[in-house]
Amino acid sequence: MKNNIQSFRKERRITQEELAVAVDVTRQTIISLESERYNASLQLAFKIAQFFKLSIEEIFIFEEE
Amino acid sequence: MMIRMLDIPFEKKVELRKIIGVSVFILGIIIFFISIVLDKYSIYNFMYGFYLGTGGGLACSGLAIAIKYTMLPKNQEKYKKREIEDTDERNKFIKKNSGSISFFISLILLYISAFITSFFNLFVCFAILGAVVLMLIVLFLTFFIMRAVN
Repeated sequence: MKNNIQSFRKERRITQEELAVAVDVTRQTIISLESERYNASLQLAFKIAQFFKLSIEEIFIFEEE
Repeated sequence: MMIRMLDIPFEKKVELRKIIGVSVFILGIIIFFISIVLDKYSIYNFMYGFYLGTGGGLACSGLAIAIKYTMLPKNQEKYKKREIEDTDERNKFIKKNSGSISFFISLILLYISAFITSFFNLFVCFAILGAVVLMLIVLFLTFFIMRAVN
């Protein structure tokens, strides 16, 4: 699954650490999400979307395999 | 129930780990004293060393766990960091996956060991095969319990 976390984060000038603290995960998880090595759970996806005040679809792009 | 037990809040986990630490410490002390009794009555000297080592190891690690989780709530910064590390979903995912992969690797290695030892010692071979069967029984039981409760 692709995502725009990094671009939204940079747009808002937020560090990975700040985002990680806000959504209760480690910085390593944010790094893995941004590099698309790990797919967020529905709960984490909602938390990230709420943090950016956007919808899940705007951040996560579903691609059928 | 099992999955709910794994998803308990961090504060309760800390309390639970303190209890586990103290229990392991007590168990270690008991085993340590068993080793002293074994030294007097057993004809197997190896078992004395075995129980002495495992007892001491368990007592020390249990004490370390109990102290660690007693001290943790006193430092809020460390506590929050530990909580995030503990509840982080990627860490949970890695633990779960590495657990199942290592289980199957252990199973294959045990089977290969049983095959090799069958040429030299049938008793050891059957003991290893027994361990393989036991692991498979535990795996299937856990699977059916998890499926029933989720």
